[in-house]
Amino acid sequence: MTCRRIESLLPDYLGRQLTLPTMADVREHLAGCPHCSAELAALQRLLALAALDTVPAMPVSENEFLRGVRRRTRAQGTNGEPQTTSYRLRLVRLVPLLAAAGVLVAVGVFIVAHRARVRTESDYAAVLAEPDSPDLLDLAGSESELIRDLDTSSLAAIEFELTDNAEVDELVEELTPRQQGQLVMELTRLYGGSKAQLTGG
Amino acid sequence: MVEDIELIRRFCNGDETGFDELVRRYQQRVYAVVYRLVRNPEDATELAQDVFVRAYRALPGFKHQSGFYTWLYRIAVNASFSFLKSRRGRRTADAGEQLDQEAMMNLPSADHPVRAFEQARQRKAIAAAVDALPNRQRLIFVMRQHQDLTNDEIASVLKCPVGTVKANYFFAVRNLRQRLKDWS
Repeated sequence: MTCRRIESLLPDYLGRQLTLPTMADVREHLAGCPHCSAELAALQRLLALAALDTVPAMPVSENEFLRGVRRRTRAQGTNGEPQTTSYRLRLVRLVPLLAAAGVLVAVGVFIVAHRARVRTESDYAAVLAEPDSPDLLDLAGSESELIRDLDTSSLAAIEFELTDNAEVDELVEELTPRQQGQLVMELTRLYGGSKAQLTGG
Repeated sequence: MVEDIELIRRFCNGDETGFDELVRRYQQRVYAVVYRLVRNPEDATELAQDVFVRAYRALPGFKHQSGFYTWLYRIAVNASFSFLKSRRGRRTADAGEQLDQEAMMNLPSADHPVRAFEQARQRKAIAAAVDALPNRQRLIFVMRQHQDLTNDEIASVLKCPVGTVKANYFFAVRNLRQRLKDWS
């Protein structure tokens, strides 16, 4: 056998988990191979070291442990599920459920917010289509607020809604992305409150 | 000593003392294997109790296709892995904290303060190295090294080929040698 093969067998050799003929082969190889003998010694040192990793005593006595098991088994429900699994374990088990619930809530909030935003953009378009609509350039020209997150989907939705109004569309096209972002912000600030206000109702 | 199979028979015939004896007989071993996976004495105790509760519930359906302890061991491993998954990300911090506590408990004895301190550090390094192994490698290493199970027994518990056990043990040892090269 090659040294490589012997090295792969050393853990099982030490654990006496090889067949007798293979054990003999390994032993014979080791007798004439300083390299593999050194590997074996290193492995023995490692396992001796690992043996130092001991298990601390159980924090309860054996009788207390048994009483805890009895308490839980006696409280079994009719469906066989233990009803008194410890509080900490139950909490840990609840984590995935709570996480899933959190995700559902977040998705729900997102959908509601998204719907509201789309509806508002439609309303912006309705307002802008009116003859006395605000001056877009005046709105967009404001540099007073920095746009942190340019919401391109919102902008695209607005532009889509504005395509029916050639004049407005042309004005919007002249805006830089920054001004377009500011446009969204300004419109939100000015008309984001009520649909009635937006539609003049 | 009464055989496991007799205790199981008694339990299945309504004699709860049969199950109590099984708990007494295996609680330390179950606790030990669970502890080595979760690295916290309180969690390990609760989980070990949970293992016996599951066994209590499932024992009437026990088919005797494996030894009772192998069967119990499988429940313990599955329960531990479920626990680790549910607290993923918390394991390292908890383990580190626990190891610090253990190291502190082993701090300088009056006779050999330096040596005792060094041993505490060594134990901490070993535990951290084992804890850092991938789950399957860690489990197989623990089962081989600390539970004295054979490759065949481990394969039976984990329901995997013996070759998988051997390979994982080999890689576990190699990884540990790499991580502990300053100590061994």
